[in-house]
Amino acid sequence: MEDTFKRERETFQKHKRELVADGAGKYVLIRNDEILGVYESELDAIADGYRRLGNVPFYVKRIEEIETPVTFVSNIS
Amino acid sequence: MPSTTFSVPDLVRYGPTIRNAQVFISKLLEEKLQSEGILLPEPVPVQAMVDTGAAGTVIKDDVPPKLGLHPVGQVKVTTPSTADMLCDVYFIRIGFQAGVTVETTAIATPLENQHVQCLIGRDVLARGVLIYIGYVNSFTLSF
Repeated sequence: MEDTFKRERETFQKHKRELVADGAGKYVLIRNDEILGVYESELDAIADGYRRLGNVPFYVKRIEEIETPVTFVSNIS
Repeated sequence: MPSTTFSVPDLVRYGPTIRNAQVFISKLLEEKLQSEGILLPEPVPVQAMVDTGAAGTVIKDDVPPKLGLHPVGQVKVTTPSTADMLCDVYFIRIGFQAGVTVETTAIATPLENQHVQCLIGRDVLARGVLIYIGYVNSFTLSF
């Protein structure tokens, strides 16, 4: 699969320390190398992404020290 | 809270399956596209299944392109046979019968060799009610 958000994940890693310090449990909106905002909820971040950027790929991520994978009991891939 | 009841020939064999669900773009994106004078895409019909073993909602990865959707995130997924698989996430609206709809993020995966194109996960169930009546092969969803 093409890695849609390689740059955005690198941007998150680059700023992870300050994001976790200031906004753990919140959601960050990133486009390319730019952090566009930190939000209380995932929905707030997505809504602002659509409002500011329109229908383009953007990266909303929960701010956490260690990412928790989404788990499935059955196979989905 | 609107609710809808589904009957399945054999709940044990087929699971709590919804034959005539539809996937739409979200209301948020609908408003954005309408403000730009862009025609809204037609919903994509899917067969869905309620899956209490799924932490998140899943859609088959060929659904978002049909809606012209772009991802709004990415998550790591763990299954019995894979660990930390990166999957794109989309923001969608799922419509059931009787006007019952729910907006949610959904993880796109191949869902190969499955009889469904959408799994309704615990993230969606967290906002509603699921009543499973095994001995009459029916279940009810309410959001």
